[in-house]
Amino acid sequence: MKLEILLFELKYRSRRPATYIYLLLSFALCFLTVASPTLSVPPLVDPNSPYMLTLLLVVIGYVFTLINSAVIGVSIIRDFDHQMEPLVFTTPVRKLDYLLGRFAGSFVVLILISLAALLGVALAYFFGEFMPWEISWVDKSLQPFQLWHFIQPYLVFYLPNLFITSALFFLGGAIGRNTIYIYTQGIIFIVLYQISISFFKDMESRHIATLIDPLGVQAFIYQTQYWTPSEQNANLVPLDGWFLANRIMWSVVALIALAVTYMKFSFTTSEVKKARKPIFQPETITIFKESPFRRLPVLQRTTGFGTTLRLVADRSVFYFNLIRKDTAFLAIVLSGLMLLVVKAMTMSEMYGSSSYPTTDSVLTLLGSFNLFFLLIAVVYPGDLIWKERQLNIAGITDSLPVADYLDTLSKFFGLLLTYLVLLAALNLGGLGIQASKGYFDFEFSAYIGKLYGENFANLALITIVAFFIQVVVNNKLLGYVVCIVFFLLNGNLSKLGVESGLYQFAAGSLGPFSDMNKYGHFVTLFAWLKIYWLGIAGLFFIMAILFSIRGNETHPWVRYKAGLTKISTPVLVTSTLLSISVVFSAGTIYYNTNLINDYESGIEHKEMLSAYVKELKKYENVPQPTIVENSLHLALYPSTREFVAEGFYYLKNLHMAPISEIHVSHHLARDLHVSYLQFDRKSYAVDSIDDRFKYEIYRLEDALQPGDSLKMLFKLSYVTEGFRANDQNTDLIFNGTFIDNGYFPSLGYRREFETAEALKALRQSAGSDDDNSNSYHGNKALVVENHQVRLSVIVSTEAGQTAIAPGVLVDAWEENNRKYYKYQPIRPVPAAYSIASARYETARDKWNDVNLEIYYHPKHSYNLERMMEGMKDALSFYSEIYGPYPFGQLRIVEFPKYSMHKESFAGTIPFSEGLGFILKIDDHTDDLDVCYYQTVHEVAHQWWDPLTLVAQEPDRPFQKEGFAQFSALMAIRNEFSEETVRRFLKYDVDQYLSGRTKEGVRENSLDNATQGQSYIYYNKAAVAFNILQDFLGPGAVAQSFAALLGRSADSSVQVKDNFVDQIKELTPDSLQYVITDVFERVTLFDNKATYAFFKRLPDDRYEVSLTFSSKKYQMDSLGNEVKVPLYDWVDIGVYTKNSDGKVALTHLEKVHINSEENKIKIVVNELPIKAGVDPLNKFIDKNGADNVIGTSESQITSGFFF
Amino acid sequence: MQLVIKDLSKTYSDNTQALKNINLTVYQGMFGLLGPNGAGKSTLMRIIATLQHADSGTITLGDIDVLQQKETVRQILGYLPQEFGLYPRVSAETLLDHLASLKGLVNRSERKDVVDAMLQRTNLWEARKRNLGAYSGGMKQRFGIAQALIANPKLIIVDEPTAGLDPAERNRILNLLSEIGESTIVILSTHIVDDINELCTHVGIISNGTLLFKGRPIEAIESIQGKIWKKRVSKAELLEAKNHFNVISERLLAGSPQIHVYSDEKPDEHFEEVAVDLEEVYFSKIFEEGTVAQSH
Repeated sequence: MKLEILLFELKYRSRRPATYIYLLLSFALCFLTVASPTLSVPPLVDPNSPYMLTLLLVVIGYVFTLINSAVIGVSIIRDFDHQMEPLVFTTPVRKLDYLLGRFAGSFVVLILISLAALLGVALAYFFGEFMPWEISWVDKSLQPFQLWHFIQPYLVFYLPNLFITSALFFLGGAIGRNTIYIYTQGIIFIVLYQISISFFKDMESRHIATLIDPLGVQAFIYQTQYWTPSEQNANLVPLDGWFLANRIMWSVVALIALAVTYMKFSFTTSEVKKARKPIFQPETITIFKESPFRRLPVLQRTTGFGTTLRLVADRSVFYFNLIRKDTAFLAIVLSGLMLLVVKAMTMSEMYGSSSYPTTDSVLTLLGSFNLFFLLIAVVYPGDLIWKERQLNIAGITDSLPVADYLDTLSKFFGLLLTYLVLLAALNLGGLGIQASKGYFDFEFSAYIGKLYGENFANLALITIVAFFIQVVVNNKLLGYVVCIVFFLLNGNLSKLGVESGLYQFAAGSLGPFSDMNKYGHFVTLFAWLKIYWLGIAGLFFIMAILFSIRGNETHPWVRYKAGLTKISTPVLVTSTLLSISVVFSAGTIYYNTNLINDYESGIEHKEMLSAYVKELKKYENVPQPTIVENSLHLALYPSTREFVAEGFYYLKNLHMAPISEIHVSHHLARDLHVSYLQFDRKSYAVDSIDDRFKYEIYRLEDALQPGDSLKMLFKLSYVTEGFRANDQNTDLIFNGTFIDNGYFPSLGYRREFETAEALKALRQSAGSDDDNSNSYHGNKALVVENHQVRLSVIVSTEAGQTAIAPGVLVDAWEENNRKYYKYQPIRPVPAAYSIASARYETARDKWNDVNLEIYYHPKHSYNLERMMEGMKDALSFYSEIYGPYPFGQLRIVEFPKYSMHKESFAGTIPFSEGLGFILKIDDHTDDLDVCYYQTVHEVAHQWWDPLTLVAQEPDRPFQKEGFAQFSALMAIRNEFSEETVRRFLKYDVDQYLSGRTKEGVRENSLDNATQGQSYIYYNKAAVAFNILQDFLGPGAVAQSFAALLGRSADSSVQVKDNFVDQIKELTPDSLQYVITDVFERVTLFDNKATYAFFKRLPDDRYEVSLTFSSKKYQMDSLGNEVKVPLYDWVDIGVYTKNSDGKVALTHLEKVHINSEENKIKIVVNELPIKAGVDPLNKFIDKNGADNVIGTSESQITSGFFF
Repeated sequence: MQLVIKDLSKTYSDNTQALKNINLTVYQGMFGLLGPNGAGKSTLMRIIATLQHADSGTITLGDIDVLQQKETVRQILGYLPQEFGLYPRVSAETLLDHLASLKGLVNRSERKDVVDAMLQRTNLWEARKRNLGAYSGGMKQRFGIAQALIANPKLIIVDEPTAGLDPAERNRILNLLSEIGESTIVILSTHIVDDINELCTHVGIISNGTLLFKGRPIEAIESIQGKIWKKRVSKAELLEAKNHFNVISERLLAGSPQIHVYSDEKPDEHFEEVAVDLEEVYFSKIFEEGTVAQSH
C-alpha cells in the first residue's frame, strides 16, 4: 500500500512538466554557474579543488531550497488546493502510509533533481572551455577528476540539507495546509542564516553560529576558516566537531518534524476553516407591506475628478488594508523584524568592541530588511493584479463605474502606502535602537535620504516593473519568473559591460552617509537618475494601465485594441510630460557625464591602467632626482570641489651619475589640469607619451650633476564641472576634504596605479610567470620618496572650515572671506603628507612642550579624552626609549569614512570617522580600547618614520609597521591587564589565520611581507613581537629598535640596517632559531593537550602528569606547509584552584621538547584544575582551543577526558 | 427607456459561437432569460455588463451605446455575476460601503445610511461585522444582490442568482428581487423555470446562442396551449416513442418514464393533454431548436 502511494507520487511527478523544468533548471543553472565568466576562484585555488566543490554544493543547495519548498509543498498541499481531500481522506488509506508515501515520493524526486545539479557541476569542468564565452578559470589548471570530491560534500552537506528542509517544509505544509506556511518557513531559513552571520562576527560565539544555521553554511565557513590555499586544494571538510553537532542536531529536528507531522496531521477536511465558520441562525423573514427598497434614501451619484481622487485614496487604503492583513505579508515583515532585532543585539566592530550606533551604521543595519522589501515588491504587485480574478470578484469590480486607471493606480498606491508605513516603522526602530544604546545624535537627514529617498524610490521602481510585467505576461507565476529574470539580468549588467546608469534600471545610489559630509556630491547624480528612471517607469505604468485586463477578454489582440481605445487626452498629456522629464533628465545626465566630462567606464579605466603599466613600467628604475624641498600654496574650494595648487620643488641628484631626463608623473584624475610646469634651467618636453597617462619626460639641456639641485615650478588646478557618471572622488568633498601628496607631481613611475590585472597581463606578455616579481596586494600605497623633505605649505580654504597640513602652524590669517594657514614642520619629513579641510572643532592639550590637538567633527567627541591620554602616554613612554619626540606638535585629524583607515604623517595622524571616533568603550580597563590602541600605534610612527631610512622602503612594510606594532604592544601592556592584552592578541591571531586563507600570491615571512599583506605586517607582527618579548624580554627588543634609531645606550652594539639583523645581534645562540622561525619563516604550531591527571603527594602537594602533542609546520619554498622536526621551547602551564575557589594559572614554565608526543610531570601546591601546553596561545596555533585540558584525579577516570 | 439588442453575435477564440444574431428589446420591469447551461445567457449578460466585447451588432440603452460608452453604462448598472467571490478578510459592512463609494456615493454619512438600510433589507445586518470569508452561500448571494442594488441602478443584471441555493434562500432572493422598482430594467437569467414564473413580466428563451422565444410568459403559454401531451411508457418503449413522436421532455414518475410530446393533435388515445406552463414552453422551444439544428 505504502509503495503504491510512493509510486503514485512518482507517476504523478513524471507527468508534471514542472518536474522536468526543475531537473533541467538545476542542471543548467549548475552548469552555467561553474562554466561562467563570473565564477570567482581565489588566485591560488584550483577551480575543482575539494574546497571549491564543497563551496559550490553548499551554495547551490542553499539556493535550491526554493525548489525543495515547491516540490515538497506540492506533495502535501495538492489535495487541499484542488479540494480533493474529501475524496482522498475517505479512502481506507492509513495516515502513516499516506504521509510517508507522499514524503518519500517527493524526496526521491528531489534527490533526482540534486543529482542533476551534481551532474551539471561535474560536466561544467569538462566542457567549460568549449563555451562561446570566456570562463573565469580558463587559464587555471584543473585537478584530475575525483568522484569522491563530489560525493563527500554531497553526503555531508547537500543530502542532509535536502532532508532537513524537506522535513520542515512537509511539516509546515501538512499542518498549515497552505503554501504560505511553506514559504514563511523558507524565510525563516534565511533569517537563521543571517543571524548566524551576526554570531560569527564575534570570535567567542562562532561555534554558536555553526549550530544556528540549519543548512550548515556557517559550519562550512567555521570548518574552513583558517584553510590556506594549499589546504583548500587538498582537503575535504571533515565531519567533526561543531559541524557534526550541527548535522546531528538539525537531522534530529527534521525527524521530530516528521513525527510531529504524523501526530498532528488529521484526515479531516479543512478543519481550520470549519472552526472559523460560525453557525448562522436561521432568520425570520420579514414581510414588508410595501417594497422596502422604495424607502431607501435615494442618493445622487457624484462623478468628476475630485471624486476620482477621493476614490483613488479610498481604494488605496482599502488595498493597503488587504496587504496589511495578509498572512504571508505579516510573516515576511515579522521575519525581517526578527532579523533586525538579532542584528541590533549583535552589532559589533573589530576586536569585539562595539561602536556607537551612529545613524549610518543603523541605516546599514536596517538595510538588511531590503531583502524582505524586494520580496514584497515582487510578490505583491502580482498578488494584487490577480486579486480580484483569483477571488472571482472581478465581475463585480470590473463593472463598477470607475475609471480604468483607478484599479491599477490604487493597487500601486496601496503598495506605496505599505512601503511608507514599513519605512516609518524601520525609521522608528532605528531611532529606538539608537536611543536604547543611549545615543541621541539622530541624523534625520540621513534617515530621510536613505529610507524615504533611495529605498522608497527603488521600491516604487521595482513595483512598477513588477506591475508592468504582470499585466503584459498575464500569468501570475510566469510573471514572477520574468520579474526575477529581469532583476537578475539588470543586476549583472555591469558585469556584462553595461555600466551607465542610463541603462541600468533603477540606477543611482546615495552612497554611504558620512556624519561629516552627509550624502555629499552623490546627491546630484542620484537625484537625476531617479528622476530619469521614475519618468521611464511612469511610462511603463501608463502602459500597464492601458493594457490591464478589465472584463473577460484576455486575448492579446483584443487587449491590445482595447488598450488603444483607452488612450485619452489625460493619458497623452501625462505621457508627454513624463517623456519630457525623461528626455530632459537623460539629457542632463548625458551632458554632464559624457559632454562636459569625458565618460570612462570601469572597463575602460582598467584598460587604461593596464596600458599605463605596460607602457611605463620600463621607467620604474630610471634614476631620478629626489625632492628635498617642497613649497606649496594650495587653495581649496570645498563647496565646488576644486583646488588650485602652485608651488615648487627642489630636486637633488642623489645618484652617482648625472641625470638628463626628468620624469614627471601626475595624478590620473581627469579633472586635474596642469597650468604650467617648468624648471629653472633649459629643458624641453619629450612628447611621445599617451596623454591619458599624465606622464611627462623633460630633457634637460644641461644634465643634473650628482649632488646638484634643480628647481621645478608648477601650477595645477582641479576643476569639477557638473557631475561624472562614476564620480568616486571622495577626497575632494564639501566637508572633510582629505587629499594626499599623490595629487601633486611626483618623479618617476607611479606604482600606486598598478593593478593585479595589469601586472598579470604584463607578465604574460613578457612570458615570465614569476609570481614574486612585482607582487601586488591591492592596497593603495602613497607616493613615498626615499628622502626627507623640507616642507612648507600655505593652505587656504573657505570660511567656516579649518585646513590642516603637516607641521607647526606658523601663521594664520583671513583674507577675502577665506582662511589661510601656513604650516611648517620643524624638521624635514618623509615626502608623504596629507592636507585636510573641514568644519572642525578642536580639542587642545599639552604634553611637556608639545601641543596636542584633535580636530574632530563636532558630534564625535566621545573618545577625545582617550585619544589625548593615548597621545600623552605614548609620548612619555616612547620618548624614554626612543629619545625626544621629533616634532613640536602632535595632532589627530578626523576625515570622512569613505576610507576606513588611519595614517601617520609628520606630527599629524589622520583617523577615519568610521574608526576610533565612534567606538564605544564603556569600561576603559576591561574593554578592548581599540581607540587607545590605534592612537599609540600611530604615535609610534612619529619616531620611526622620519628618523630611519629603513622605515621608508615601500617594499618592506614590516620595517615600518612592525615597529609601530611592537611599540603599541608595549604601550598597551603598560595600560591594560595581561588578560586584555591577550584578547587583543587573540584577535590578531584570528585575523592572521583568516588573512592567509585569502592570500592571492604567496604568503611571505614577516620580514619579507609585501605591501598589502597587512595580515602579516600588522596582525602577525603583533603576535611575533609577543613571542619575542617572551623569549628575550621587552628590553632587548626595545634596545634593537633604539639602536636602529641611532640611540643605542650601549655603544658596543653594532647598528645594522634592518630590524631582524639587529635583533639577532642581541639574541643568544640558543634562541636564534626563534628569530628565524618568527621573522624569516612562516611557522605554525599545532599543540594539543591529550591527558592530564594528578595525584596527591604526601606533603599535600599535587603531581600533575600531562601528556601533550606538539607539531610544528613551516612553509617550504613551494608554499607548502610541511611538518618540521621539533627542537623547541614551549610553555607548560597548570591552572589551580586556591582555597577561595579562584582558578588561576599558577604554574607556567618553559620546557624543551624534541618529539611530537611528550609526557611531563609537574608539582603544584594547589588543586589542579586544568593543564596544557602553550596555555596562553603565544605561538600561532592552528587550533588554539585544545591546548588545555581538564585534570582528573585517577587514571581510570582520566579516560573520560580523552 | 429600453434596452435594444440588434444582430448581436459573439464567437470565442476556440470557435464556439456563443451568440448568434440576437435581436431583443427589453422594457422596464423584470425580464427573465431562460436557457440550459451553456446556452449563452452569461455571455449575453457580460456583454451588456460591459465586461465582454461583441463581434458584431449593437446594444443601446436609451441614448447610450452600450458597447462603446461603457463608462456611462457602468454609472447606472447593477450587476451580479453568476459565480463570484469576495475578499475573505473584509467585513460585509466595509466592502459594501467601499463598493458604494466606488459607485459614486461619495458622501460618507449618507452612504452609511444606504449601506445600513441595504444590509437590513438583505438580512445581513446581524452579520455585517463578520468577514465575508465566513459567509454561507446564501448570505454571499444576498450580499451580491445588495451590492448590485445599492446605488439606484437603472439597469440591473442578475445572472443565475438562485443557482445552488436551498428553497428558503431561493425564496429570500426572489423576494428581494421582487421589491425592485418597476421603472428599472432588470434582466434575470436562470435555468429554473419557476424563478421566471414567479417574477417576470417578459421572458426570453435562449439555447445554443440563439434566442428561441421572446415575449410575455402568458403569450408563450398560449402559443402551445393544447399541443402538449403526456403518456407513461415502459423503459422498453421509450426509444420507440422517441422515434415516433416529438418528445420534448421525459421524466421519471414513481420510477417509470413519462414523456411529453409536442403535437397539434392528440397523438393517440393513450396520451393526455398537459396543462401547459412555462416549463413546457421551455422544453418545446429547445426541442424545436434541436430539430432545426439537426435539419441543417
